[in-house]
Amino acid sequence: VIGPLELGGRAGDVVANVAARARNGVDYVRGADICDLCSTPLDDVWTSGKVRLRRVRNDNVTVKKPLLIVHSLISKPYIFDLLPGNSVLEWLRDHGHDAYLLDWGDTDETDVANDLATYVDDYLRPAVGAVRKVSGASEVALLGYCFGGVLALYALATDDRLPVRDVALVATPVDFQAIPALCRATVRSGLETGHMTDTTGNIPADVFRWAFRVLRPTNDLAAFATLLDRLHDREYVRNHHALNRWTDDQIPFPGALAREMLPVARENALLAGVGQVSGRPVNFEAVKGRVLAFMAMRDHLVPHPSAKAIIRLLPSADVETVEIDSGHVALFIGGRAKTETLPALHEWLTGDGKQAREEKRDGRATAPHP
Amino acid sequence: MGRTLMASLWLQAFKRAERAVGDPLERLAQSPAAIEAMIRTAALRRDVELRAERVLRFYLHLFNMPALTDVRRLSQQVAHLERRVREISREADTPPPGDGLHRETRRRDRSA
Repeated sequence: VIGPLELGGRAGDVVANVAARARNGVDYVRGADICDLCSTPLDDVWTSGKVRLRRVRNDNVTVKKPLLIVHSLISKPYIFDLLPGNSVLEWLRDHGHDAYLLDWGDTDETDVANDLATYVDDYLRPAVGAVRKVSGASEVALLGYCFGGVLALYALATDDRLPVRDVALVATPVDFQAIPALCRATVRSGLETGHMTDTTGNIPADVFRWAFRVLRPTNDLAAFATLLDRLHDREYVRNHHALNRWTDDQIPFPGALAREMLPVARENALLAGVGQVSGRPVNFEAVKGRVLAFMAMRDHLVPHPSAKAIIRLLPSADVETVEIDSGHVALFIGGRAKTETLPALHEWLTGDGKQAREEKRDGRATAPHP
Repeated sequence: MGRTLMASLWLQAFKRAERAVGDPLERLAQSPAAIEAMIRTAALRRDVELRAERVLRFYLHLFNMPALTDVRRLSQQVAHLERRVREISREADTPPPGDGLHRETRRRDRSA
């Protein structure tokens, strides 16, 4: 039997819940000030054209080696600083890292001739030099996200003097044959860059948006249902709104780079170790140092086997893999990032918990390389 | 508690239904025929855009007005010049090898 007091309490809960849902729902639809994107203070320390090297302001750096984050080229880098409390940059700052973000800027018609050499030689390698200069460190650690990891690999494989020994890769495609849709499109259906470029010569952002939606046609519906269910939870609504905004905020892909990378995907040339940057041939076998590769088990953009092929690509490097039960973006966003991805990255960079990682790695039978 | 349980139940049911529909849809979307159709659609769209732009440019030029493609061509030329300046200044700097700034001269023409 429910007493009048308890009944009143329950009624109050229901009213509060309905009110919260109504408020959050209206704010979500209005999209006004529901999320505070990119709140971590950053300073531009180097620029080249529209490319900016941004340093996370941090008065309490305790990790000696600076970390340079190399973002992908099809989306905007604020995914690393999505919301207060859900930000990679904020987390790194709070854990004493001297973190830098390489922001490629928004691609437009002036970038149509940008190729692999532009991004590796004109931007990435000078950015590494700039990080060294600004931080005073002799070596720099790289963190490549998705295609940013591919750029980092090309930089390493074409310059054995690059002062980088530690590279973390997040959802980085290595085996393009292990991406079924891409493989079918390039090998069987003869996809060419010219099929996708717009009148500027770049691949427009909506091609990627469209392709991602087609790969998971009901994904938006499922996400919306979860949002409806958790509409009372202001934090969840903010995160959902911010992430949705980011996924719809993609940028065009440079035409020249696409023309260069499509044959790489078709012939699986990255894994085969074939290619060149500015006339310098790639040599992945010569890449030494440490590599930590994060891969998502439920990634439909870069399937797990594609990322896992990093072990075969770099036989001379000390490759560790971290497999996380998440999707492509959730590797670095939300709860799993804070409890799994970022702590693993921190431990790997600082050398903490090495023994535990090795035991875990041996237990998983991931082939370590001498 | 009761409400939360109810909510979870409806969401679980919804997600089961979503997967039941979504899985075959995903397979269909990644089938060779669907990919072929998407490529053809994208190519057709590009064709239409190019033709429309050409027609528009013709009429704008008739009235001696610049078209978007003219502005675009100028921007690309400026970008090409900027790229050349970057390359030349870096070659002139010739930093010591191994500091991350070293690069080899790019011999090929990378005009826009």
